[in-house]
Amino acid sequence: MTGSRGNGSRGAGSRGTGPEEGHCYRVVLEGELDERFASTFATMTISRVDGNTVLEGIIIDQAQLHGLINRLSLLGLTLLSVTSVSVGN
Amino acid sequence: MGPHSSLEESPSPILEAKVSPPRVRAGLVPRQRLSSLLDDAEHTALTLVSAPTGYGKTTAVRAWFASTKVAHAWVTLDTGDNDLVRLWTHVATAADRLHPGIGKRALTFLALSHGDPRPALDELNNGLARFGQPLVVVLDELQAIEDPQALASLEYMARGLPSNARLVLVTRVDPVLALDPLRARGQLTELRARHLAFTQAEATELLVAREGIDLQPGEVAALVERTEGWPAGLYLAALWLRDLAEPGTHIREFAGNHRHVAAYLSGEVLDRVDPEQRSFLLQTAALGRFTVAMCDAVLHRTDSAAMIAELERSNMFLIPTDGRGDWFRYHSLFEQLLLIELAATDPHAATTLHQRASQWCEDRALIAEAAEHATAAGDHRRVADLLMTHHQTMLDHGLMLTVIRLIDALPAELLPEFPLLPCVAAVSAGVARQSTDERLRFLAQAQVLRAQHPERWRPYDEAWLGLVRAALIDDSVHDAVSWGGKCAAVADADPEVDVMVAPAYSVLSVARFFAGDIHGAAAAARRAMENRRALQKIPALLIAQSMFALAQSELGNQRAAQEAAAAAQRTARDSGLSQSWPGALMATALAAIAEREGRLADAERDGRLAAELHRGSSTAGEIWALVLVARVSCQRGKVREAEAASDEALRLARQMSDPGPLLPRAENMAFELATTRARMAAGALVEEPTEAELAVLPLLASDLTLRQIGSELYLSLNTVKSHTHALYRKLGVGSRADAVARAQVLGLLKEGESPG
Repeated sequence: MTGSRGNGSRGAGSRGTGPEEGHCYRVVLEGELDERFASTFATMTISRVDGNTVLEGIIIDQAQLHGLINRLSLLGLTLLSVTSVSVGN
Repeated sequence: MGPHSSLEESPSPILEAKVSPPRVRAGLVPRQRLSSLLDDAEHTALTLVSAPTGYGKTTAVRAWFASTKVAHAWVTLDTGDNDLVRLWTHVATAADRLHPGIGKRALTFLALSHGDPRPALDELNNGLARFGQPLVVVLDELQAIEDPQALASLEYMARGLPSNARLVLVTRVDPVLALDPLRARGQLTELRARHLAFTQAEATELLVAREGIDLQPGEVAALVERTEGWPAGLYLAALWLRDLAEPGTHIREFAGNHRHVAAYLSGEVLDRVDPEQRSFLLQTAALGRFTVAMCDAVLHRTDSAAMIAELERSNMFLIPTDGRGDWFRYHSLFEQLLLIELAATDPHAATTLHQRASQWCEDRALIAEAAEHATAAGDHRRVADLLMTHHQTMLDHGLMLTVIRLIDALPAELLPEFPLLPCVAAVSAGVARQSTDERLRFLAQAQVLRAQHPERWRPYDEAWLGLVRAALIDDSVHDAVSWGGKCAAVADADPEVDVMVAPAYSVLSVARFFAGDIHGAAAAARRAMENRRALQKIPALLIAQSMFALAQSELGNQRAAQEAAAAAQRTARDSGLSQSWPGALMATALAAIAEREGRLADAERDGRLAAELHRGSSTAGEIWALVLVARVSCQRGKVREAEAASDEALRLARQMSDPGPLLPRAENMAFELATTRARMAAGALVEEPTEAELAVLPLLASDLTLRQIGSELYLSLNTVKSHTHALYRKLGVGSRADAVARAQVLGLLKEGESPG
């Protein structure tokens, strides 16, 4: 993993409970995205793994998840997988 | 008030852009292969062009039309079209431009749709069939439509599509439509990413033949493979490679790394353009839609014309968005990439640019755009200030929905400083016939602010609150009159606010009329019409002209009524307000005049339209129109329909705490109908003709023989004879000519159905 960025308190390693309900998601996109894209996914950490891009972070509900996927589609990004991951340990 | 010289903010250019085929940028490679695929799909009713951004979907369909010259109606959808009526109004408007009349009847049916668009869609398909020639209806950006009802209506329309028409759906995401049955029957053609991707030959055409880049076939193949033929990627590659000395080396480097195609290529392109052009690209992308003059002012430059010409020449994804070539935007993918670059290199630039753009737009009376830029800059206070300064102008130009959206988006903590704005939103919701709930929600907000911060509540705010309470009468006609009086007093007290005279007196006229003060209504309407600003206050002018016509008609002054109604019709036509709440009052006046002149069919039609347009806006107006409909329907022998209208009027009047003269009016009508029923039961009145008998009636007015009438209607001669005799008996006549004459008197024959 290289260049992990983003707001630590809402990143993949943080607590998944508290005022922000929701689940931590891991979204894999085809191709490597550089740091410039970090601002676009401000609430997600962005990292590059095996030639692909991994976004991770808390998604509060399905509406937000679909909004994120719509944004990826507007940017012409190819979605490889979306998975829910457990957090807090 | 801003200057009035440049009024691009009026709604028509927006509609224009929605129902015109979009412009495409220059310098695109023609793709005969795709046009042929679309030609081959001639026999399938539905074509789905579905692929991610940057695949050239819109371009492919536009290019196809350029080569085939087939007639087409084009609608570019947006999220607002999830509203059924809006969606099909746009489609019918686009169809009507193909050939005037195609969509016209559908538009009329939409106004009366009751939320069920099917009759209007049947009419639309009939209109398309009448066109007779092959034609294509294109719905572009279909991914904006997510509402299940809107999608269901699209399925319904597609099922009834006539054989000369094709539907082409262009979308980034497959629509949630039942496409499998169509697929199975071979009634669906699909153009997907794999079709739209560039072939080796097309990539060679773009890169080598057109751009003159010196590439070997293997190098082109490597680019096609790396980009998977994605057109946006290859156009970016062309921009990147055309000035490089050894393009092959760069292609090998690109092919060998893992970076995302668009990110890599846009980065390379932006690294290589000169710094001036780079900064121009990034800054203009933040503006969204821009003109040369706007760029000069906002970017503090003087050479924007040359910069834009250069970007167009070098195929930098620049798209003209209007017919005159004044406004531009970038392809949405390229715009997103530029915005990401801008945010990464200069995080605060966008905010500053939006603030300046907002000022520039305000100076040119582009208030809606000024507010959008202020919102993008996060400057909600400026949005509120813009609305405080320009709400009158915005409503005068019919931007009710924009006003509502902007006020709705303001943070709640800002509202106590701007208590007027919920009142303005409530007026807008009423005029535009949004839901009653929406209007009441804004009214409740306004009343809370008025109670919490009486020190901030000005007479002007009270007048705006009064406009809603006087005009849209749900509960008490006498409260409405007293609110109307308050509005008028505020307008009279301060010559500075004489912009309020026409709105205040026009709503006072409405309140007085429904409270039974017809002379007072006429006087107030006259006062509104004669105000020197009346010609700018379009919704108020339409209300005043309609109320003057209605009052004069009630007073028996038909000539004055007709003149005012004709003026109202001109105002409605020029402003597009005929489907608004002021349009409801106009329809009421037209119905009343038609009834007095004995044109009963016209009176019934306009009365029904009036009741429909009043529904959800003004209970008082709806009751008045329903009673008229009941009376006219009864005179036309349609007693059951008359009873339905009368029952509804009575039910609504009883819901009001103070219905004034509306309740006795509705009660009298119900009593008359009950008497009519009793007489019918006693046999004193002839019975109503059946639907089957009424179907024969228009043909009796023609020169056809009874036998010919039978073959027209697929009936036997004996059946036609028996219907005809039943008609004679029910109309109380003894001959065919008398039956036609009597039917005309009763309004049972529509215009155009009588001979000559």
